Amino acid sequence: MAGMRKLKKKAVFFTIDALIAAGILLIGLIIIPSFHINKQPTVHLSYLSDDLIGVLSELKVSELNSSYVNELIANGNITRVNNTAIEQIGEFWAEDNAEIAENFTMEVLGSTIPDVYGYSLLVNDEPIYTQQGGINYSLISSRKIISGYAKLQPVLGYTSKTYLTSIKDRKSSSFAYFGGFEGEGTLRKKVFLPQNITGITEIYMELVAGTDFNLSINGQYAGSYPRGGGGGSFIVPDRWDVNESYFSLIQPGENNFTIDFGYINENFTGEGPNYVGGGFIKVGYITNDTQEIGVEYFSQTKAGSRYYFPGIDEFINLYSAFYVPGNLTEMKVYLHINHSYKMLLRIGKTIVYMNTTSGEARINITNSELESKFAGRDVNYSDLSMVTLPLRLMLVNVSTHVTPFETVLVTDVSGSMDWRIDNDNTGTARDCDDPLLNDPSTKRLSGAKCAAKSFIDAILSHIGPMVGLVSYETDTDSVHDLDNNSASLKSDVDSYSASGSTCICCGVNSAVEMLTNDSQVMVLSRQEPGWKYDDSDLPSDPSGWTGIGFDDSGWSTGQAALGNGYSGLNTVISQYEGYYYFRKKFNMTNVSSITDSKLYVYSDDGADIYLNGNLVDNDIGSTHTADYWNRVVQINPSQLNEGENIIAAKLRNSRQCFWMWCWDTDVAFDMEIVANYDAPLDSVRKAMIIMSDGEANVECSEQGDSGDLDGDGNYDTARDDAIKAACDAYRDYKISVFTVSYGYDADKTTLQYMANCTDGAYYDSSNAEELEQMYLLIATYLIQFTKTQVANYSYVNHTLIYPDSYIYFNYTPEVVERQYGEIPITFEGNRFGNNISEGTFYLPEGNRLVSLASTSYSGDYWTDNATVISSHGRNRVYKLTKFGDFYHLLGDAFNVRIPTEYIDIGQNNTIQINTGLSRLEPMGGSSYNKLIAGIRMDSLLDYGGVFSTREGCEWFVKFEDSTNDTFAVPANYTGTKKCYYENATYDETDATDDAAYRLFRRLDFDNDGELEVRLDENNLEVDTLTVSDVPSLWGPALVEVRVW
Amino acid sequence: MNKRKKSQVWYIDFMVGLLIFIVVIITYYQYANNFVDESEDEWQEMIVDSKSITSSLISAGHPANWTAETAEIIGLTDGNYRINSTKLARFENISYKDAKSMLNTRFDFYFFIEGENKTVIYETGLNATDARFLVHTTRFAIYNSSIVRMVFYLWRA
Repeated sequence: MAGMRKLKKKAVFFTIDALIAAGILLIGLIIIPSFHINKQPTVHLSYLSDDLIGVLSELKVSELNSSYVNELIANGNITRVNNTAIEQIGEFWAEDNAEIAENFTMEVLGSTIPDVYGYSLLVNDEPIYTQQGGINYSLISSRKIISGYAKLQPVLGYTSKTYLTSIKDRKSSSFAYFGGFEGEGTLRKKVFLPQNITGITEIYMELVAGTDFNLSINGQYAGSYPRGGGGGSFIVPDRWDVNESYFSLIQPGENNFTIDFGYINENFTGEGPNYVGGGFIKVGYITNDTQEIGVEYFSQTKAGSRYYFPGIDEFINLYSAFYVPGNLTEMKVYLHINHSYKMLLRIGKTIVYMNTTSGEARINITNSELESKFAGRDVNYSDLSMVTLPLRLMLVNVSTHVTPFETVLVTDVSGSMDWRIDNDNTGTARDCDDPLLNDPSTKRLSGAKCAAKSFIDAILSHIGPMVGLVSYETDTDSVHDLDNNSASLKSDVDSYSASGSTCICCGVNSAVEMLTNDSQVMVLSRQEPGWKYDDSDLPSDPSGWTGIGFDDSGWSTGQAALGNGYSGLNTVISQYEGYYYFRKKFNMTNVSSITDSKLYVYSDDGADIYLNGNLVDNDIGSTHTADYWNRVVQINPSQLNEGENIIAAKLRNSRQCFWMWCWDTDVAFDMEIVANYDAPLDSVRKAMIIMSDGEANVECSEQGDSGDLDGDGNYDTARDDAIKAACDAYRDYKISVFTVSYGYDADKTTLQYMANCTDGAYYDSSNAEELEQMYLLIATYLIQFTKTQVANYSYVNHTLIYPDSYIYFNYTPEVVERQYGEIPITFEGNRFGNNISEGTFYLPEGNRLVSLASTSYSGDYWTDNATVISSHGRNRVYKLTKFGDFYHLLGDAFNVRIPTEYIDIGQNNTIQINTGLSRLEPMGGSSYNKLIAGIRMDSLLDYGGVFSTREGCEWFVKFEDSTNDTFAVPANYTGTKKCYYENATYDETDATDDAAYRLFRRLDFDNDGELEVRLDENNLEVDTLTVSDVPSLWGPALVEVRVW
Repeated sequence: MNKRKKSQVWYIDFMVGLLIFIVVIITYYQYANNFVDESEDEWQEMIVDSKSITSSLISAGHPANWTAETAEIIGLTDGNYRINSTKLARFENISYKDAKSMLNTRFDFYFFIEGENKTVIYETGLNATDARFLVHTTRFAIYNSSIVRMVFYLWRA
């Protein structure tokens, strides 16, 4: 106590307390580090869950060395030992085997995971296995998606593909194609078939035939085929199926088809029309030739690189084309002919042969000769490669194209024609070559005169038609009768002057009178072919040489004008002083109706002319140069015969002498005969063209009470009379009426009414230039009736080209190698079905286009041009004028090749193809044209989706040729399921059905429910591959491992 | 006056005691704070090392067919959780010092593979008998078609 007190006294209590506290803290500092020793981190649970997922995804069932797993395998609970553990767990789950799934998971993971950890494996949140662990104060989860698993869905699927294989036998076809015009006479074509054919399936012909014919196959009769009997007409092909009973006439290899128009005899008079204007003969067959499936459309023959000429047995007149499907390296021509005329062969724009032969001849034109010919026209072989080449084979100076035709141009010369085109001020008179002719200030009549002269030239540039002129004002002002003398006609046009009112009906009535009072027919035209002549300076006249029965077969034949020393001669004859003899037969009808007939003579020097043995012109002995015409001789119609007539001429050519020197002078001869009939002939087409710049304001008594034809509420007006006059002209005389309004104030309504009641047409023009264009358009339309490919070859001796004639061409093919799995097929599209001859071509993706062509049924016109419209723009791929302007000298393609580089795959392409009579005379195209493509179809379709079944089906399939078939896919399917491609009716859970449908869809290019390619068990085999063990596409399922 | 003297004695004692207490408290705070920070940093470093090393070990390593001479990263599997016996042997033949270096850690390690029923299939490194700091990481892998545990200890005495 004493001590305590002593301490208290010293006041050190707080100090002592502080020291004690410091000591305690110091001890604490010593103890702190011990708390950090052996501190263990939270175990990385995320690693555990990730690793478990990873390990289960890697470990395969087959690796598990477990009696339990082996038992599951043995029991069939596990069928795919290549499953990973996680897939197997998913499979058990999908099959709803919860207990097995739990046991399997426990077996796999075993005691690997320490008890201290809890974990759980779940599929789509459904617990599969759970191990209870320690306290759950940290939970980590990892997930993995497994595809192909869904609760209660099958875990195995099927995927299939169907493909075409080739095979035991197949259906194919061979063709013989005709050119745009092949005639005239009996035609022979070759059709080549493989040697190993096992049957004929069809023979049919799709042709524009000029008339009825008989068919022979290999010399045996094979039926008669009337034109129109197959639905055809002009530029519309007939289709005739050859009766099955004639199939036996077909033989392997070469087959000769003969189209016999039935006119071959000694007295053949050229009646026809015996030609084929495009088309083909098709022979369908079955072969076990496995080299290819389908037929290349453009293998024009099956005999290799040759174009075979048709055999023509009467009058050689061929317009065709051929195609070299690669880079041309060599060409040779072999012609086997029998006639005594000059013959011309033209390839493209190059005449490669022109010569006269006598009797049967075999002509070989070598490659070097051809190269030389082509080089002369700046053509090399690359220009001839992979283009459609027109081919023309003709007899020179023999064929012409003459059809009677009469037209009257009716011109308004009323006072308003003195005005400018744009108002009623007086215009300025200008000539046709005045650069200001088309200026609005020009007098209307000046423009009309020039347009009229162009029209006259356009019409009369062709041999045969006649033109008349009528001008009208208050009444008919002037008339120029039908004539083919353009100078005379144009002179009359130049005399037109404007005055007075507008009497349209007057003009119409005058034109009708001209066209119906008589018919002026060109019986024998200038430049007529088929003249027989003797230029051997006979010492005396042959006996009976002026008579019709005289045998002039030994004389030469040529086209007028004949002569020597003149330009423009079609036939050159010998030149000497002495006598020349000429003969020409011609036919006449309705001779009793002839009121007047004239003979026009062109000769150097004078000649005596005999008609049917009667001397009608005696000019022999006179000396003069030739002129169209030297003499116009009136012929007594009684000297003309109904039917056959003979005109004969004896010409004497004199020598020219100067002092003591004499020399032979030029010689020339031509002739024309015109007959006037007292009534119009049905065979002569008649038309009038009426032009007016104003409104009809003068009536015609001829029309009587014309009523209110224009519907304006006013009866029997001048306008009504004009309409009635036109309508009556057509109704009573079949005169076509074309009307043209001229200028802004023309009465267009009346002119339209006038044209509408006839088979003519109304045209509008607002100035002189347009008026001329309209006139030329009408001229073009009218000319089509006078110029065609059909020749007038009466009295031409029999000519023959044998069908073994050919053009051989060697070439480096375009690289279109067939690739594995590709099947060549020929796709024939639908007929265009429109008058503008425009077709659409669509090739689905997955196919390769090898060739494309358009047919062109051109009748006796020419295939003029072809155009492709695609993403590559608008490309003119064929143009006949590239080879020349005179179509009758050019070939005519029935098949026009379309370059494939312009074609889009997977998009629509438009192809237009047109015909024409000349570059200025488009004639439209046939609605029966079609596109034909050579296609490499990839038959190796990819596998489709995965499906739960793979049974197959019995398919009902329609084809483009309106046939259908039913067959099983796969072939051994015997079930009752019915599938229909047409409306996509099939089992969408069946892998085989899916594959079959996809294949059919590929074969249906135009997606119209009809297959372009015929399938049946005879021509191809449909096989189905099924791949099993493909995880189905159910799910996916989510596997989750939770660890805590 | 006496009263005043007595009061001064208690006052000084109180002030001295208080001063000592404050100094001790501050010293303690500073010391304790530094000690905890250092150990925490070190521990975190070991965790990072452990994660990194085990991730390497469960990989194929680099290059995939590494040897003791070429190894940039030591991995013991084929990259798909399957342990490669060859790599195990190569790892075992690397000296402990070199192994630490290759594993890029300054701490000691002990590694073993444990199969079913906790059977040790493989082990290497130093056993952590006197470890003051210890981190262990477990990974799962496949060895001889069985799921095994790869256990890795990183420790410091």
